[in-house]
Amino acid sequence: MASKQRRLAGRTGSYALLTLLAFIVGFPLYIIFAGSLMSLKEITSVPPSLFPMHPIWSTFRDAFVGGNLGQYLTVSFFQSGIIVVGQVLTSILAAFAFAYIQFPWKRTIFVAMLATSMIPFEVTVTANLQTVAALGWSETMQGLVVPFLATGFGIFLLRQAFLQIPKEMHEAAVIDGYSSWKFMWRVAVPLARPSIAALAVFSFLGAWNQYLWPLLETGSNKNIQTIQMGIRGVGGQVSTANVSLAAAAIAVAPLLILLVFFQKHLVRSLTAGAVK
Amino acid sequence: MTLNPLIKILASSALALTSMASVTLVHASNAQAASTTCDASLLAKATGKVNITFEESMTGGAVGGTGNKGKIGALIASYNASQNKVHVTDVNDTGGYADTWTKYVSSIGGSGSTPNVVMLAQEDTQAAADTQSIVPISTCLKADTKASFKTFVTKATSAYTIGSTQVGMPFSVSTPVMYYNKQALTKSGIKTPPTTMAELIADQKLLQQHGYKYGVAIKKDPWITTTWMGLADLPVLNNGNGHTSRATAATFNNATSQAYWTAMQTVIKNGGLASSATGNISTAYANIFAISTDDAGITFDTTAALGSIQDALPLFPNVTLGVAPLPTLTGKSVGSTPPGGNGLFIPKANSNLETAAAWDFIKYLTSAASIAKWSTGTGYIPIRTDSAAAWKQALSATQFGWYNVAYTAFSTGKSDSATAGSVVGAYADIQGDIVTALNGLTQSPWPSASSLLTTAQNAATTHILSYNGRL
Repeated sequence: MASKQRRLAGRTGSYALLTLLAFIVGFPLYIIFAGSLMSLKEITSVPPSLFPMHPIWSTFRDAFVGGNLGQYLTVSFFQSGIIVVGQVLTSILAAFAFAYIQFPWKRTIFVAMLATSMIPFEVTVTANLQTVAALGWSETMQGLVVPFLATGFGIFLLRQAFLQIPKEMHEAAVIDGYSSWKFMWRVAVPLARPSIAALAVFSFLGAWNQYLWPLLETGSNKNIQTIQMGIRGVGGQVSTANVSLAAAAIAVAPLLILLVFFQKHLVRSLTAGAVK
Repeated sequence: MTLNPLIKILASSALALTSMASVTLVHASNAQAASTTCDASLLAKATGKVNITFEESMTGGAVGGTGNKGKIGALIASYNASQNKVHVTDVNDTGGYADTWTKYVSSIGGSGSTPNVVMLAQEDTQAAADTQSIVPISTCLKADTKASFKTFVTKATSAYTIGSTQVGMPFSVSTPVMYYNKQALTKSGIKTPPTTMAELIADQKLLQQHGYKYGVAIKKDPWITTTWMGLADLPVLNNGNGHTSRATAATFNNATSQAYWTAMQTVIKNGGLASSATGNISTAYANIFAISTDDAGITFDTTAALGSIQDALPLFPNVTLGVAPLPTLTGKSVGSTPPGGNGLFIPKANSNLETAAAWDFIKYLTSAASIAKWSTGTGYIPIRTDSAAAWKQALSATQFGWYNVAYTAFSTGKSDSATAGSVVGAYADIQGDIVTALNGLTQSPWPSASSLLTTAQNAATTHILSYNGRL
């Protein structure tokens, strides 16, 4: 009885802590959405208003139409989409090679690959800009996406997923006459689906939220500016604080939708291999 | 294991692509030509149209009026229409001066898109000069006998001068002023806005007694402190505020700054609001919002916010805006208000012909007529005395009353290195040191102003020496 009570108390404590953490994470998002519906007077009130008393939905129209967010969203979807497809494809191929194929210097190359994930982007940004300029890709869509078509993190994630597949399955496939190519697409990739989905979500999040690279790379080409750059140009004045928040809400909405749909895959991928 | 040749190729391609994308690749080559002169006559000899880019950081425009971004766009369009030798393309950085600086620094590293004219904050002058990537404006002035600074406010040009070199061209000037709600002052029985810090403290009490919770809202902005130093004719750095030679030490800890900080601390101790100078709209303008919500009757902020405040005023019938000079210790000033704002710089990494075009464009932007247009409604004040008449005519009497406070503070009074604003490479670090001290000043356990200023000054000197040591 006492242990049952202890378990109950423990569970209650865990849920209380999780609720608190969820509140901390969710509160800024709530403020963005609530603030976007408030009048300027409500936003500026002291103490601050937490609920819009008379929601103003026109702020979203003002942000979307006035801020030309449709164009920025289209560019961001296109840019993020290409990056996701590129990262998933290159990660599958490279991770499969690291997991199943023997070749010289495999371990050294893998460590070097992993090391690239540990270098902050800011360190390599100038060199990457010079490379892109030397290729004649400054202020172009390929300059915006190509440097991100592969990722050390993705290769590591998928290699670990491929290594989880029982060795016997691979041996059986070889006996059945499967080529490496066929085994990869017919067996390994379907089994690693949760990790691939997680990688796709992480890639999308990273690409969607990029600011520094698009800022430096797009230069004077307004046609390839992304949503994160676009929302900086909306409002920015005292009188349009609610419109700025509406623009931020529009920019964050695709990510929230994505997380709702893929949260199961994300959790499964992150906990995969945690319990053997 | 037999390897499928196709998978071998694909795997190696993936590895190669990964390496290309992830590993640092350094290309030392920079195909851009470097400008060596600023010869305006080259433009007359040019056969075709010269296309140049102008990178600027003005905000607004998408929603809530065209803002400063729209106004700079109009000036560019009018230049393009006024002649057929040069075409300027506007590159607007929505993220402000910080984004423009980041982009500029990366472009001179060889990314291949260095602008022909770049707008930088005044505080970036020394750092820009240190990149050795700028064609000094004095080179252009020397080559162009028709150009002159005769009608420019001296402080505006001195703000961009290092030694005898005019590094950048002044363009936009703003200064901190005191904003107050006339209705709040009247309701509290205050006849005129405070002119001294002692009056400010007394008025705060009266405002609080009449329902204005904070009475006074203070923004923790180092700019206000450095402006007070200018008003007292005291430099914040040695070596002529960094103008005569490179600064090697901070000098802002003195009896005057200590007295101002002690007064500010008293205001906060008495229940005033200490608001942040950075962050999003609601935090960076919390002091102004406190006026709109009748929590404060007086605050200090930049004139650059005036256009924005004016847009919001119709929403707040409880506010009748008043603008006055910053209060001082004695109600008088032996110095004058140093200029803030931005200037125009010509990067070297372009051809001589493009540099000539850039200079022609800069001359247009800073002409008396353009400056008068630019100063109307942007919140910036004229940098030329011959722009002032047209500027005054374009403003309503109420607007002129507001803006003229800043213009008078800027264009009159002593003009020397202490009032020309500072130039230093480690500017951002020094700002950070002062902000840290201001944070300490405005909260319990209320350390003394002198101890905080001593710490901030020592930290600033360390940052200056560290920056200088890296050159």
